[in-house]
Amino acid sequence: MIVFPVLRGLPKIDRVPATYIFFVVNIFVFLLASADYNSSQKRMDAYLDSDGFLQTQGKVFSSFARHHEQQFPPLVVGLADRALQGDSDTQKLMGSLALRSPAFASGVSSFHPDGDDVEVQNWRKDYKEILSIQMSHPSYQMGLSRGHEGPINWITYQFAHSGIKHLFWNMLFLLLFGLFLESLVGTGWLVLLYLSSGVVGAFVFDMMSGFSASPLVGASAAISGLVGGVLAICWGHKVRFFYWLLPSRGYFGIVWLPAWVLLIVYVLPDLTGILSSVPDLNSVAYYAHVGGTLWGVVFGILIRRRVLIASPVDSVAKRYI
Amino acid sequence: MSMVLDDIYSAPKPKQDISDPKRSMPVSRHASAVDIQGVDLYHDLATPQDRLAAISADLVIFLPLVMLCLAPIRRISLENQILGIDQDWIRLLAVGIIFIAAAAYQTFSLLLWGATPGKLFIGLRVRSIWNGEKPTAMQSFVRALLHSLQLLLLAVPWISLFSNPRRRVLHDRASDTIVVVHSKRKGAGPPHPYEISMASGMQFAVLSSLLIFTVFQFRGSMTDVASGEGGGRTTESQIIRELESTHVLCRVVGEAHRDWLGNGETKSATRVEAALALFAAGIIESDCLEKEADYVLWRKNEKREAYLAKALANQDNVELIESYQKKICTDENSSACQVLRSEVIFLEEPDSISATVKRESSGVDQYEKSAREMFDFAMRAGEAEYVRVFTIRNLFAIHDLKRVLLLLQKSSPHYLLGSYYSSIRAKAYYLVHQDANSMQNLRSSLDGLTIDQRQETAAWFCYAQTFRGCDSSAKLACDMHLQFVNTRADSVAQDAKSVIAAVRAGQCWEDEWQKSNQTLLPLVSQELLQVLKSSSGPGSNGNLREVLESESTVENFALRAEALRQILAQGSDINEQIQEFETGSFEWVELARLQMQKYENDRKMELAWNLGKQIASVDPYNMPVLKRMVVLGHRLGHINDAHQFVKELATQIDDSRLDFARPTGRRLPASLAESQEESLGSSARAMDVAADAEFFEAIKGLKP
Repeated sequence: MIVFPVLRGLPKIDRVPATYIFFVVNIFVFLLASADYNSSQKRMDAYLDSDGFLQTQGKVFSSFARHHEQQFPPLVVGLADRALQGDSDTQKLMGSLALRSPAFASGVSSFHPDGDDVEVQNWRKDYKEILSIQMSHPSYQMGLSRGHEGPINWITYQFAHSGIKHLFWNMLFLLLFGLFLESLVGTGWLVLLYLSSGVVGAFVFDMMSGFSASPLVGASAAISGLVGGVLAICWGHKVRFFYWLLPSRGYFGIVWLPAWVLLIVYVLPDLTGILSSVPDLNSVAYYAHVGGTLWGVVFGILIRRRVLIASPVDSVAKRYI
Repeated sequence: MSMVLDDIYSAPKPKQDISDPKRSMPVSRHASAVDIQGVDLYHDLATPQDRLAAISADLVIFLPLVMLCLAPIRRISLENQILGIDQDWIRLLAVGIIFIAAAAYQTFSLLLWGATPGKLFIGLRVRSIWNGEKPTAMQSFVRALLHSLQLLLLAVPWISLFSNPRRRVLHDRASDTIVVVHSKRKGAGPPHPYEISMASGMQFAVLSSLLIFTVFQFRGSMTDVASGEGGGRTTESQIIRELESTHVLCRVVGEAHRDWLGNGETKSATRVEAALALFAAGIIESDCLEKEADYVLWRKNEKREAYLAKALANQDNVELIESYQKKICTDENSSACQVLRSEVIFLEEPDSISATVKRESSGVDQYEKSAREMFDFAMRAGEAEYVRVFTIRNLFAIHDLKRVLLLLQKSSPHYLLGSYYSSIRAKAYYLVHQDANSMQNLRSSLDGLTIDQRQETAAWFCYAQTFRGCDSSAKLACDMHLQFVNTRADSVAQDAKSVIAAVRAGQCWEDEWQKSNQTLLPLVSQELLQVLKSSSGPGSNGNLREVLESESTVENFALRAEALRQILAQGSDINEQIQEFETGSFEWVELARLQMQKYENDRKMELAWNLGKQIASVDPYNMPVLKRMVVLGHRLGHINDAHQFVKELATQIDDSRLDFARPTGRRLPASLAESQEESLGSSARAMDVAADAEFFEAIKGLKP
C-alpha cells in the first residue's frame, strides 16, 4: 500500500523556476562528481572489502574504545568486548564504525592498542592511505563531517548524494513537494525555506548526535523542510494524493485527502527512525530530517497568513495539483 | 451469540451435491433475501477484494503509528542482537504491543464510525446483525479482540470469507456483526459452492500444517531447553566455553588444553601452546591457530607464543613472518624464537630440488643443523610440548629417524597428540625396518587420529609398503587406504602419493581395487596419469623418460620415483637419476635398493657393492641391504668390510635405546635365526629363502 501526493500536470518553469533549478543542480552535481566519487569509492572499497583490514581496524577501535570508555556509549563498549574476544563479525562492524568516530580519527595516531603490534603496524599504513583517499573523495569534500565543516559545506552538502538511489528518491520528493509549495508561496520563499531547512537540519543533527567522521550528504533535510512547510500551510485543506492498495482495477487512483495525512505517512517514520535506531550504528540522519521538518513547520506558520492572503490554497491546489 | 452456531447450519444452505452444475447453484443470485436486519444477502455483502483493500488502507495509517510505538523496543532488540544477548522476551513484548495496538485501533474506530478508516475509505461498514446499526461497545471489543487473535494464526481463519454463506469470518460471527457495502458500492452475494469447498479445503490444509509445524517447533525448543546450560557468564572459563560454542575459538583446542591441565607435566601449558602443538601435528588449521593467538594478544596478555602462532598462521607472507620474528626473537633463547627460526628454514621442503641445490652449493645442511639444534633444545627437561611436536615433525622430514624415536620417548602423549605421536612412531619404525613395532603403533594410533590424519597415514603406509612389494602387511595398509579412496576420492586425487599407492595396490589386488580406481583416476592430473598408464604396458620407456624431463614434474618426487621404478622394472639402469633425490630419503633408499638388486642380477657385483655401501651409510638400519652386503663382501673378498657389516647388524639389533630388539634376539650370529622373524617382520619374510641361505653361507664363511 502506497500513498503519496501527486501533481495533475507539471507547472511551467516560469511559475516555479527554483524547484526546477534545484532539481537540475542536484543532478548536475551528481554527474559531475560521479567520476571522482566512483574512483575514490573503489579505492576505499578495496581496503574495506579486504577482511584483514576491516577486522584489524575493528580490533584497534575496540581497544581504543576500551581505553576511552567515557567517550563511547555502553553499546560500543560492549561491542568492543565482543570484538576483542575474537568475534569476526563484530570486528568488521567495529571496523566500519571506526571510520565514523571523530574521537578515533583524532586520537588513533597517538594510541597504542594492546594487541598484535605487527598487525597494527601494517594496518596503520593502510589507514593512512584511506585518510588520503578521503581527502579527494567528493562526499568528504562537499559533505559535513568533523574536519569538513566550513561555511561552504553547510550549503554544498545539500547537493551531494551518495548514490543513484539516494538521488532518485530525493529528486522525486523534491518535485512532488517543491512544485506544489513553490506555486503556493512563490519562488523567493521557497529558495529561502529550502536552503535554510538544509542548514537547520544539519544544525539539529550536529546538536543531537554530532557530526561523525563520515560525511553527512543529501538533499533530505531541505526536502523535509518543504514537507514541513506544506503541512503548516495546508494542514486541513484537501490535497491530491495517489493511492495504491491492491494490484487490481478500482484499488488504485487519485483521492483528495487532508494535508495532515503527510504527517502520518512521511513525518512519523522519521520519528520512528530516531527512536528505533541505535545511535552510532545507523546510516540515515533522521535528526537532520526531523530538524528540517520542524523548521519547515515554523517557517510555514510564519508565512502562512501572508500566503493565504496572496493566493487561497484551494484554488492554487486545484489549478496545479 | 446463537447466530455463531446457527450460521453454519441455517438457510440459505447451498446444496451439498456439487457434481451437477445446474443443481449446485443455491438460489438465484439476483433474488433478494433478507434474514438479517436491513441487509440484502445477495447484494450487500462486502466482497473479499474490498475487505482486503480495506486492510491495506488501514495499514497505511496503522503501520506508522504502531512502528512508532514499537520504536524503543526495536532499538533495544537491535542492541541486544548486536551484542548477542538472548531476546525472547523482547519478541514476546513486541507481539503483545502489536496485538494490543491492533485491538485498540479496531475497537475505537468501530465504536466511533462503525468501520475502520480503511473500510470507510473503501466504502464498507460493520453492522450488528440484530438491528443493522453500528456495533455496540461490547461487539466492537469482541470483534477487535478476535480479529487480532487471528493474526497470531497468520490470519488463516480469514479464509472463511470464501466459505461462510454470509461471508462472515470468525470475528464477525463471534461479535454478531456483518460487513456490508455502503451506499452505491457494488456488493457480493453468498459464495458459490465451488468457492466454499475450495476455501474449506484450503483452510483445513493450512491450519493442519500450521499445527504440525508448531508441534515440531515446540519439540525442538523442548530439547533445546533440556540440553541448554543455565547460569550467567561469570568466570573466564565460562566465557571461553561460550566462545567455543559460537565457534569464535576452536573447541578442539579447548578440549586439548583442559586435558593437558589435568596432567602433571603439561599443567602450566597455556591455551596457545596447546594450539601450537595441535597445529604442528596437523590437527588444526591456521585460521584456528590465528583465532587463539588473537584472543590472547588483544586481551592484554602479550605472549611470545601468541606471536609465534600469528607468524605460523601467516606462513605465506614472508614479510609478515620477518616482522613477527623481530618481535619474538627479542629473547634469542626463548622457545618461541627457536621454533620460528627452525620453521622459517623448514618452510621450504627439505626434499625439494631448490633445497638440495642450496645445500650442495653452500656445503652446509641448514635443515640438519637446525633440526639437530632443535633436538638438543627439545630434549631439555621442562621444555614446552609444542617445541617437541615441531622438532619431531622436522626431524622426520629430514629422515633423522633415530632422533625422532628418541624424542618421542620424551614426549607426553596427551589428548589427540598421543595418536599423532603413535602414527609418527609407526612411520619411523617402519623406515628403520622394525615392522612389528610399526604395526603395533599404527594400530594404537588409528582410533585417535582425525579423519584427515587417518587418510594421510593410510596413504603413507600403502605407498611405502607397496614400494617394497605386495605382501600381507601392505594389504592391511592398502585396505585402509581403499576406504578413503571410496569415500573421499576428491581429496585422495589431490595427493600424488595417495594416487600412486592406489594404482600400485590395484596392480597387487586387482579385484578389490578395480572399481574404486575407476572412480579415482578420472579425477587425477594428466602427468600423473601418463606415468601410471605407462606402467601398464611394456615398451613405453620413452613416455616415462619424457615425464622425467618435463618441467612440470620437477618437484613431484613421488611421481618421478614411480617413473624410475617403472623404468627399472622395464630393464634400464637408473643409478644416475636416483642421485637427484635427497640421499637418505625414502624414495632414494628404495630405488637404490632396487637398483642394487638389478646390478646383482646383471652380475655387476662391484656396482652393487658400491651402491650398497652408500645405502648402508645413510640407512644403517636397513637389514635386508646389510645382509646382502655381508654376502657380497664375502663373495668379492672385501672380508674386513663384510665383518664390519656383521657388526652393524649386531649393534642394530642390540640398540636398546631405540627399543629395536626383542628379548630373544641379542647376539649374532647364533640367535639371528630365531630373532629375524620377529625383528625383521614382513620384509624379512618377503626375502627370498635362497637369499637367506646365501646369507648364512656367508656368515659361516666369514668366521675367523
